[in-house]
Amino acid sequence: MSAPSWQVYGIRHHGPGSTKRLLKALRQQQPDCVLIEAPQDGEEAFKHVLHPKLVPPVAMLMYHPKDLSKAAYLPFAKFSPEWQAATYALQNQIPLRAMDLPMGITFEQQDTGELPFQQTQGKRPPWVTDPLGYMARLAGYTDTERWWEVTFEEEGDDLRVFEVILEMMEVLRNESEGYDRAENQLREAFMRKTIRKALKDGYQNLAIVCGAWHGPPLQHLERFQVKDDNKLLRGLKKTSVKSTWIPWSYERLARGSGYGAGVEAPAWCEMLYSPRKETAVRWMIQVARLFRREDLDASVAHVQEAVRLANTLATMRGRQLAGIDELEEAAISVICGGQTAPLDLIRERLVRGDVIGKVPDDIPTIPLQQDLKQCVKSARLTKEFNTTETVTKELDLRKPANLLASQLLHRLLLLQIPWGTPKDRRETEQGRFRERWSLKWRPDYALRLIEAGMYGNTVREAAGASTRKAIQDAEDPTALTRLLDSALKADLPGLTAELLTALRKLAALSRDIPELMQTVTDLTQVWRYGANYETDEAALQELIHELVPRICAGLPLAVTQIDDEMARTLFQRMVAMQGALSVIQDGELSGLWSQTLQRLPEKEAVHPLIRGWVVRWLINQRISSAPETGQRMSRALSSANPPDLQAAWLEGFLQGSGLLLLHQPELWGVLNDWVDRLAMTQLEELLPVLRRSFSHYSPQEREWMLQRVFQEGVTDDPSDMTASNIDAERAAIIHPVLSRILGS
Amino acid sequence: MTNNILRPHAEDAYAKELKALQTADDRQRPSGWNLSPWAVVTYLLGGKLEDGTEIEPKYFGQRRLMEIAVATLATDRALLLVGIPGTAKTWVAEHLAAAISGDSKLLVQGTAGMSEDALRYGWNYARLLAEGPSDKALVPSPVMHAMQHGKIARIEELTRIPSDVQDTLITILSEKILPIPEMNTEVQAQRGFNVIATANDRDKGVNELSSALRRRFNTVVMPLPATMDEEVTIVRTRVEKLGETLDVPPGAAPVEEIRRLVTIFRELRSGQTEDGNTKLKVPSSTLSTAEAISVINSGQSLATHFGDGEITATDLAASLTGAIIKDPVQDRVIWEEYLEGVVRDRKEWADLYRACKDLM
Repeated sequence: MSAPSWQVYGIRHHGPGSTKRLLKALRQQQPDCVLIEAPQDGEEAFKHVLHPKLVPPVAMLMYHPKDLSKAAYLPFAKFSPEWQAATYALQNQIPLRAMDLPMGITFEQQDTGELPFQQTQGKRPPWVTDPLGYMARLAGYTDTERWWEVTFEEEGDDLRVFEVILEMMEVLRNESEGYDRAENQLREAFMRKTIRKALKDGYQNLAIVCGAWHGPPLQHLERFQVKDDNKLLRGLKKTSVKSTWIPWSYERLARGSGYGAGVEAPAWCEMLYSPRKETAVRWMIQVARLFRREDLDASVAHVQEAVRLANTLATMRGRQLAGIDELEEAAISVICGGQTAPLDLIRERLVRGDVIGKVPDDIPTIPLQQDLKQCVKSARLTKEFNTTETVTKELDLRKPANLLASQLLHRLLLLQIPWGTPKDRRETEQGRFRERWSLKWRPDYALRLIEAGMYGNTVREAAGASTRKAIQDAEDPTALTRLLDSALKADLPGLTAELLTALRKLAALSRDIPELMQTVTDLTQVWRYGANYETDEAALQELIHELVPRICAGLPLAVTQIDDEMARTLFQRMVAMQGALSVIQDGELSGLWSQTLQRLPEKEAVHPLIRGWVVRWLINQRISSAPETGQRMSRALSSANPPDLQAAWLEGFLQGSGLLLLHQPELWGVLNDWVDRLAMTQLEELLPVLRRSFSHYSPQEREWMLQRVFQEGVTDDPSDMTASNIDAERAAIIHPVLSRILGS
Repeated sequence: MTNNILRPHAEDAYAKELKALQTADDRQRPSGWNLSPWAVVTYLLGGKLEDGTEIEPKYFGQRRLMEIAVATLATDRALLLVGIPGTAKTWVAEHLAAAISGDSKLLVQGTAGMSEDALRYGWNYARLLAEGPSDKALVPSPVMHAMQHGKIARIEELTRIPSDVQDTLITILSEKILPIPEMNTEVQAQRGFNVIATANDRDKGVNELSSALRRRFNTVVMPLPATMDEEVTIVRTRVEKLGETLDVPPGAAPVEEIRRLVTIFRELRSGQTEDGNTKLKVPSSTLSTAEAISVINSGQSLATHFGDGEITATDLAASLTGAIIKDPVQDRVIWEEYLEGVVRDRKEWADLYRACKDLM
């Protein structure tokens, strides 16, 4: 029996060039055991790699079953060397071993902070994170795969290539002594330990697949003492770790999150991994397809010409095949008319790609995940679930499937999984049975789902339980009303009673008037839409009846001696509260509210913004008369008051649509009379304030107001410019100029 | 005799370089080409041949663009060079034609009043009336000539040509034939025929290419020089070259003056000072590199003929002002603001400030 041998294959994570080469080399070597750089405690999960329904990009999710803040993703694409090495081993019934430091130890280390695991992440020099990419850049290539092609694809012997890489890394590592992290030493020691174990187990011919950087210390086992390695690893604590597969996406892969080096252009890598002769054609066809989606011209003839140009360019530059530079240049010149902008428009989708992997149902996941899949299916959201693009979805709650979809999305929101974000209703759509959602599923929600698994085994159950917890943790009534709203929309009626009880408790303690007003407004919304759901209407009403009197009692004090910012908040809440009360239409409550407001205008300490609005409201309700309002107005706007207070009063007074002003003759009269009474000097002083207040109205409304002024004329002016006295012809001359000044 | 020619053709001015390239060039040449694509790119961008011949760079800028241009022509596609005036479109087209066909003379200048004859063929009417349509009565256009002899035809300012006339090119470019219905014959293009067109995207009121025609062209957008140093090099090289032909004594193109001028041009063009601290108004003039060259040139001849041969700020001021103020009202204000706001504050530019102020 000859001495056992082993071959180290230094690869580039997610490098299609190294993958192709690796597979050829493996076939040549015919190893009897394959070791790959992956955490040892993830070894079990690799047995699923051959599952026909496990389609990359997928990620191995490793997590601490009790503490989900400890989790790691190991993403793999079809073109990842580790993935292909594992596939090769399993297909040929060769034992496959994961040799890297167990994730259980890494998790523990993160905890104790003994080793600087995360801290050094940002500062690692480029030749450690991506040594082959670093070499490529030194050689003047922006595209590492291109460099790989030029440097290694010509060479005949597949094993020889990896020897060269090993030598290269040897030099690089010698140059950068001291840069390496403690973590790497630990990992390499563990990897050596695994290799020695495999040799001890009697394997004669090992294939070791690892990131190029780790190559030399693994190939030259003899340089390291067994006892040194053991000393390093001794006494390391290890927690238990669970592993499963989750679908991953090219988008996430491109972001380089999680483990090891990311890859900038997954879609391009995938094309490189397909037969190389077709790459240029496939790439250009993809360009054309994406352009067509953007309504840009891209015919088959364009594709043909662009591929020809790319190939000619490559030949001129002495390259065998067109690379991404030539392809882009050709696309710009032939399809985009020399402009780079159109290509920039599609570049992300072109090089990154919208691909999402698949994980079969029978790979053990937690029950909640399986329930979610079922829910997605019955809500007919499978398509939206399987894309990385953001999709806008309109739901019509009268349709059963759409109602299910809405409930599912609301439940997920309660579970802190924002797959869907509710979009604001369009102004024109008044119906309550429509919802608009923007949907984007992110693969890492899988972790949150596992986290949510501790609340229950179905989405409904888990959402209910997590909301119950949120109710206990809630500290202010607004949060509770929001929860109430969500719970109703998520169809979790069992929670309403609980929520209302909690709300009552909190509200009883709260002295925060703005917050209480917000609560009443929110509750009114719930009450209004409650008809769609099973709500305890009586309990809601009762709560509102409890809250409004308390607000009315506290309001006069709440609006005195406050700053502008606070006034603005209160002002908005009061307007909303007024709206809510007009929805409830309860005589008792409205009367109380009205009495409270009537007390406000005469109090100097009440903020002018609020006073202005109340004065306006009182005349609208015909509670105060026009002369009374006029008087209040002059007083508020007399020059003794500082201009900013005048402006605030006017803003409050003129709040809302300009149309109201036009269609309420009394209000109009009050304003008009007031302006008439002003002396010229006073008017001049007030002009800026007036202009500011009127600028809130739309140009159209201002134009109408102007016309109205012209129609009526300025009646009481001393110079007797009565309506009949106006020379229409002369007025017509200045009218266009005046309209321009007034900005219509 | 050639010594008296004001501006020799590219193929004559650089005959020596072309010959050396032809000898040294052992790469595959597309049929009908005098040089291989690699040699054409070398001719444009300069370099040193194995036999020691120094090839002057004709184009300063991205190698990439020239490679795309040459590769386009090698794939039988027509080439469209687009850019604002003064970005060396015509210059590149001329040298491409000279290098590929050894003939840059087949030129059609596009104008708004152009008829189809200029792109196809005309008639010698005396002969036409006397003998009827015949080869002898036919007057070929430069494009037709290029087709017959397998050469590159150049069309300047393609977008100024009326659209219906432009579309005459479609048949020529896609079928590579030019029908002559009057004689029931056609001209079939020989290998080596191709078209280089230039178009200006600054002018308003141009005739956009129809998409059918656009599809026949690969487009290369010619950029303004990317960096200060690149632009200074271009101006200096061109000024020295022009000086030779205009009999201006050599050595009168000081780099410092050029740098100053290029700075002014770049700043006004981009609407901000080079340090990025001050925003500037942009005048209506294009202020291309070509204009910088002509400003230096006229300054140089002023210095030679009326001064002591050394370029001074005064020599530059007149043509500089002329290059910037194209609109007598707007641009004048912009220039004055620039002088007061930027030039005055630069201590070492005091001479230029005074010289320019004197002219205002």
